[in-house]
Amino acid sequence: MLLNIKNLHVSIGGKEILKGFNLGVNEGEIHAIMGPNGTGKSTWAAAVTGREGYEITEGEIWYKGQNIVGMPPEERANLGIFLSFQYPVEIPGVSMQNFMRTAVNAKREYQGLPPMSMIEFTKMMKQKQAMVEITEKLQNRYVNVGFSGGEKKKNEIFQMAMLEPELSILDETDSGLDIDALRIVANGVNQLHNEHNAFVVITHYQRLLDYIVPDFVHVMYDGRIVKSGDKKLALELEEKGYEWVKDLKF
Amino acid sequence: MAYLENNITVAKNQSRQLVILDDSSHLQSNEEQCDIVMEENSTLELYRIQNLNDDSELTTHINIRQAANSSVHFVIVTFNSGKVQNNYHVDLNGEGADLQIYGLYLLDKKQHVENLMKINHNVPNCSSNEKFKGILDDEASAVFNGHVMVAPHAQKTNAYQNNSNIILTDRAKINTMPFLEIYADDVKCSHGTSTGQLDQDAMFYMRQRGIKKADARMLLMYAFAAEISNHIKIESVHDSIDDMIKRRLKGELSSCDTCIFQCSNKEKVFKIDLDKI
Repeated sequence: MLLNIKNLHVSIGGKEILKGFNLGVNEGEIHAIMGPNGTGKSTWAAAVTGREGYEITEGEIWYKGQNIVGMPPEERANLGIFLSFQYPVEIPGVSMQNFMRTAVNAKREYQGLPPMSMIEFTKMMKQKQAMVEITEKLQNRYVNVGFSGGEKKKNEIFQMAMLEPELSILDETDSGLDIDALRIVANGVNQLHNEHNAFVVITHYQRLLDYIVPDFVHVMYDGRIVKSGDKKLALELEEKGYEWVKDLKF
Repeated sequence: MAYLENNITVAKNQSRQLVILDDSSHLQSNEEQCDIVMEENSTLELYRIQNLNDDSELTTHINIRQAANSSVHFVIVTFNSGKVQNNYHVDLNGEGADLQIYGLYLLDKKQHVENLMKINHNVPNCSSNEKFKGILDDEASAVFNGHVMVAPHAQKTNAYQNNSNIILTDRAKINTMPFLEIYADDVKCSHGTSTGQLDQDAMFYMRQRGIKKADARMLLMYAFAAEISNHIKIESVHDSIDDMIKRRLKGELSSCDTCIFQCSNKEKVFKIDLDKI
């Protein structure tokens, strides 16, 4: 199993947000986590990627055979965990080229590989940009600065393509996207998906799942998964809303 | 105690570049005065680099008088120097005069730097822009006082002042006082300050992409500083200052081998193209 989360409890500032979260993800699978706002979906993503300030009070996160609780975020990233941010951060003064080169070479260093040559890197950047239909020159633009909502999300998938992670978490990637951008983003994900990697798609709406078709759908409520099923569950949620989910808890 | 005096006049329609550089590890106590007269339609690029022994003391008085349509582009960078007080007094005396001043200070230990401005808009249609940025580590402290005075008849004045700081410890101190004193009623003037720590969202974003914490910090600090040093238009000066900034920022690293900037490594296999940042 690629990712196995057991009885995860997470608190922020002393307040418990995740209350016994369990999930297993195998290579090749696509999982969707759905649920109403404020139910802990983004907290879960932050805890798996190792963001500071998210205190794991109980439970384990097993990834590629090791418990990664306490591991710094950069090490998790270099082990192949990628988060497509709900709100990608603008970093004025840092160009996309330097940002991605530093990231790509950090991973290569971690894997004991020599740094990538400039020629190789430029070629790779061009190729991966095409995958998400970013046509303009990206290298000298500052990270996410002046990008539209759609461009920011495309840029996340571009970075995913550059870093070739085994576990990708997409946090509300569909929020703020028009239908064309949504299709491009989903298309990028589908091209990257293979039998060796897995995706966990966090979303509020069924819409994205028309394009990225999940093998499993989980419904989250009040800090844990309350129901799991196949893609039909997403349609059921779309039809009935989230109200009925609240009763499943007990 | 050394006293230094420079008198510079840029004649009508002339254009000059000037670099004043302190770069010494000897203990010093200096006072200097620099009087600059800008005649009509003249332009000056002025670069002042301060890099002295940590226990030195330095006081500077920079006085600039600008006639009509003259322009001054001034970049001042303070690395080490112990205690520094830079006093600027600028008189915009002729219409169409323009002053652009950019300052950067990178301080650690117990260093203390003051940048005290007095810019007088004495006539209409002049512009001034002050932009100062600082990174303060350890118990370093800094003062910024950006005083702009707009005289009653100096209409159509454009004046902007900004001071932003990154504080790396809770012992470092910044005292920032943007100050606009305006007696005319048809002007565009504004000021802004910001003081804080490194952007934690940006830090996590970079680390999530696999970039080490120390490298992420350095990239963010470099990007912050480069916004000032990129105003140095003489390429060779820009490049050596850029190099000094990188060395200064990687200060805590004991070995250059582990640093992403690789400034001193001539056989750069992996060169980050920082010029493009």
